[in-house]
Amino acid sequence: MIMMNHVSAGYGNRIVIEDITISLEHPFFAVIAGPNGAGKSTMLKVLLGIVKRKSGSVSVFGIDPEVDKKSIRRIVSYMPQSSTINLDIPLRVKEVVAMPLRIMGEDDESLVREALEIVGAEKYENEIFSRLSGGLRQRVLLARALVKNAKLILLDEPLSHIDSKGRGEIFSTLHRIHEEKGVSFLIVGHDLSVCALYDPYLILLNRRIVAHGRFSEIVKPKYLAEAYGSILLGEGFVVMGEEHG
Amino acid sequence: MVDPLLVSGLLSASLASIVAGLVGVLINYTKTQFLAIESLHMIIAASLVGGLVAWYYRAVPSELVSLITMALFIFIAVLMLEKGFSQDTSMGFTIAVASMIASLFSYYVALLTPGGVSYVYTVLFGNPFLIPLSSIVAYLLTGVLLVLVLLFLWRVFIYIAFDPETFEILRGGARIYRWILYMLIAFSAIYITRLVGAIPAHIALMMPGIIASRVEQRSSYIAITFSFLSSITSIIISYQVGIPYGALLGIISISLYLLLLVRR
Ligand SMILES: Nc1ncnc2c1ncn2[C@@H]1O[C@H](COP(=O)(O)OP(=O)(O)OP(=O)(O)O)[C@@H](O)[C@H]1O
Ligand SMILES: [Mg+2]
Repeated sequence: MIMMNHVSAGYGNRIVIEDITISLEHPFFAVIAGPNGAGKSTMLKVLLGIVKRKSGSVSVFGIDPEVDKKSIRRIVSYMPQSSTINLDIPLRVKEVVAMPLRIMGEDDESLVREALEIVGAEKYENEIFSRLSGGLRQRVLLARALVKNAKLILLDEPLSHIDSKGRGEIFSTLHRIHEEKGVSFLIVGHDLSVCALYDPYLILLNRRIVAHGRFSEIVKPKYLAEAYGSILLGEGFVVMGEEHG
Repeated sequence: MVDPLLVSGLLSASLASIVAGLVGVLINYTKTQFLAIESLHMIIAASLVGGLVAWYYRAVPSELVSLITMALFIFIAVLMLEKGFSQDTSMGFTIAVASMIASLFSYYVALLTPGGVSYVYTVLFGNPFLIPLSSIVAYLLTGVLLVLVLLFLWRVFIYIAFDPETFEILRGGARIYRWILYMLIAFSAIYITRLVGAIPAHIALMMPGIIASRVEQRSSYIAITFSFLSSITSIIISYQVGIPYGALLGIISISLYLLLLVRR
């Protein structure tokens, strides 16, 4: 179970997310959506304890991530937004995927291969990561988040750059992992159309939580207009544009 | 009977070249060329400060003064990065300070101290045959230690450079490791300078990585092999013909690089 209670956080003096209160029962499958700069990535980082909150309390399976970093590291896995990665480093795909294992002093090629198979990138095992196409890179980063045995997986825009067929496939794979292994997912996403099939828990964020609940109940013009500003959306049918880099 | 000077030259050049090859690749991967260049300028200034102070106060060993000066320089550079100055600004400013000090002190070292001119020359251009046999063992051991530390932390440095945020979440302490990397680069620069002098150290640190990445993107082995072979060749030719070691290193690596450019 994860809980955020009246959490505000930001950078320097600037508050970026404000008065966030939410609790999710493990195992959950939840999506965070909202416009650029809404604070979605920041919210994940607060849960990970790498952005310090200014007020409120956070509990991730009973642990305060700012206090007990070690325990958080053991149970949580994370995929950053791809724009934070340095493509100058010529790592091979399998080395990228093995990162969580190797940093812990473990290494298991079969786990790496398995993770790559899940995202459909096993063919590229020995390629240089930075030479892959944007979508493949994204799949590899997703494989890295799946390689370690985590209870909670936080994914920051895992579907960006991925073609529409791939989006559907990957989203359904994630949902299957959630159901079969009882893993909790918190996914930041812009493309809400892929969600519809699975009716995940949806959190609409724009600095504050605009609405949260089952996807089918939240995807309403009223809430969406409030979250995304003045744009008008078709009745109950949402296809968000391709996100930015 | 082989000349012991040649033997010690070969041994120390071998180790220095392996350190240079390793650090060169790391510098290339982690985009810290600025730090290597900065360090080399600091080393020139620090050595000259050491030389002059030790001449003035006989009781003070020049190495100690140089090391303290060096530490001070690194502190300024680190502080600037910490305060959010860009790498370029931090490099530009510290190099300016170091160059100013080097210009000032080299004048007085050359003018006042006995053997001053040759001291300045050695700081700048080195002489691999000048390391006294008595300190060669210490030099070799330091080199081995440096290589081991670099290899031990290699993967961590690469992963931090690749994705610092995820590293922080997986293990934590990314910032501390980054400072260790900076210290190791500065220390390796000192180590290499001790053998080849600060100016040729630029060649030793930069060219293996540049050449290797021209041949193949994944290049650590190529860089280290090249660094090693070019050093040994330079030492032998330098010993036989009497052309400065640093010049030979430069001639070999620059012509090889040009050859690679033409070939493709
Ligand atoms: N490291 C940082 N330092 C200072 N400000 C930051 C930092 N990271 C994010 N911000 C600011 O916090 C706000 C929220 O950023 P965040 O990345 O959480 O938004 P987001 O919802 O993930 O947006 P996007 O859809 O573009 O990824 C933005 O205004 C951004 O400028
Ligand atoms: Mg974001």
